[in-house]
Amino acid sequence: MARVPGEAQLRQVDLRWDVRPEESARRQIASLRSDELVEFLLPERCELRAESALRLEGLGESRTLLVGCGELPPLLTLIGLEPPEPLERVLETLAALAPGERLLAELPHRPAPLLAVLAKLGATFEVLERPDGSALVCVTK
Amino acid sequence: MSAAVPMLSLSTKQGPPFWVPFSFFLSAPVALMAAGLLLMIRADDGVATTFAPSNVALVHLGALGFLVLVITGAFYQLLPVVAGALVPGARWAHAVQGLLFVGTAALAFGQWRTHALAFGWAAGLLACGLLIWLVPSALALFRSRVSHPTVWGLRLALVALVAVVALGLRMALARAGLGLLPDNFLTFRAAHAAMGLLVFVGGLTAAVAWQVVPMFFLTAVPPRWIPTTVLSFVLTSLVCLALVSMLDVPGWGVFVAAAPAAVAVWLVQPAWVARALRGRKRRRRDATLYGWWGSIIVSPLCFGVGAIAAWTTHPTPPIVWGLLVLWGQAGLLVHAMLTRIVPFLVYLHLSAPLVLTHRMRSAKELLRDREVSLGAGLHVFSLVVGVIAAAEGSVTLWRVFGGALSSVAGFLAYELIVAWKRGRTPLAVRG
Repeated sequence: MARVPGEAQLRQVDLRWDVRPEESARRQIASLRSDELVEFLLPERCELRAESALRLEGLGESRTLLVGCGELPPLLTLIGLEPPEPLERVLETLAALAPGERLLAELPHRPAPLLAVLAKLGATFEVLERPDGSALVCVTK
Repeated sequence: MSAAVPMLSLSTKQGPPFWVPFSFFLSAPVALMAAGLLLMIRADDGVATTFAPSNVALVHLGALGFLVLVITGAFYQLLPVVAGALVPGARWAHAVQGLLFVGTAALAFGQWRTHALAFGWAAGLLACGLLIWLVPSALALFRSRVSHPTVWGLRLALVALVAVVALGLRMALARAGLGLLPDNFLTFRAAHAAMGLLVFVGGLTAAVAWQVVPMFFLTAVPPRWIPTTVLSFVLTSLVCLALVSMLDVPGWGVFVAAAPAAVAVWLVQPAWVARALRGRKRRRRDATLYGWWGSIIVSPLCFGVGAIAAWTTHPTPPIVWGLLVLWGQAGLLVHAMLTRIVPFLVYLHLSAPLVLTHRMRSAKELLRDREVSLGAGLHVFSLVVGVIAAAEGSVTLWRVFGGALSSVAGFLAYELIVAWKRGRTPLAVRG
């Protein structure tokens, strides 16, 4: 799918079929930049816990774990809202942030109108489109 | 294979500028106001015979001036979302709007006053306007790689529109003195009406609902058999009506040809929408639903009255049927969608770019629930008065219907303009 100008990709690492998922995840976490966020897809048996784990929940047979080295931004869970509420919530939250601060939003699908508005506003953003169609957006003011 | 229609993820294609769809939407209340005034002026004509000149003019003010203008404007916005394709040549949109608007006025005038020159102008203007809109829209739709029932429904609707316009142009040109009316004029006219109101408008609104209802009201997506049934039934009727338009058959023949689409659009589709809306995941108060429920309730009546109209020579059932379809099933739906989509577009285009520096209203605050409820209430009231007026044959009530229609038009204009004004006006500057 074509990207909005200025859009960067948020990284997702699929470790569901990895023979040593904990070890692979720790190696990846150790190499993270200070502002980098990565979402891991983990198998059911994996016991990995990251200090800064923001979220750990089921995604079908597997689990997801979002990790970052620094302080993780606030997460807005915007699944189950009628349009344009997710757009409004992200923009209102963004308005309250100081320049350089970030927010994370979890949405039911790739939010094309939101990304277009963010590009117009000059915000930087990273997007992760998940296999189930939902999306994770990290916006920096 | 999944048993449900997948939800389309929103495309990254940018929609058109705000004023492209919005200017089309703003034309709708003007056409409705003209229809209301015509009803008040020529009320004595209207109740006398089904195809009285003022009735034919009214139908076209409603069908072209209200429904088609809103649909064409919405297409520019809808195609990037559902088909991932921009309508090429969107810069011509205002020319399309002008041509359709003036063409509709000329057609209504020609029909009301039986004016040959007006018919000629109408045919030319409407043909040009529809061509400039239809060719790029069709190119975008048929080139789209998205294989979703909504996209197939829109494609079918465009094919139906070509057929409706072809039949309509032939009649308009004949009225303009350029050719003869077909020998089977009564069948031809009935096929034109059924194709327009049932196959084109009904098929298109159904296809859009498969996408819009789950997206805006957080309902379940339709099971696959719903779009499969509706699309195949509508296509069957389109082919049958095209064949019937070349034959000379009695009224019930047209009804039989239209029956598959009638079952799909007025019985199957509303049953799914009702079920979906009752199972909403987030059951909060939403006044835009009144129009949807109104349309759902009216739909089976369209089927029943349509059947009666096909088997009788009495002038009342066809008038009541026309009212129920145009102003009830389709009109209520379009009115409801306008009150939902316009605040969304206003927020997206006008409010959102200011949010970081100003406090703006939310989309819900751009058009308040009580305003939407009042608009829907007025609409339902006017429909009920219209149906009673037609059934009673009362000139006074027909005039009251004209007044009520004008008030709905005025209120719809207020709804659109107030949403636009509120959306561009900040509440305060952020500190």
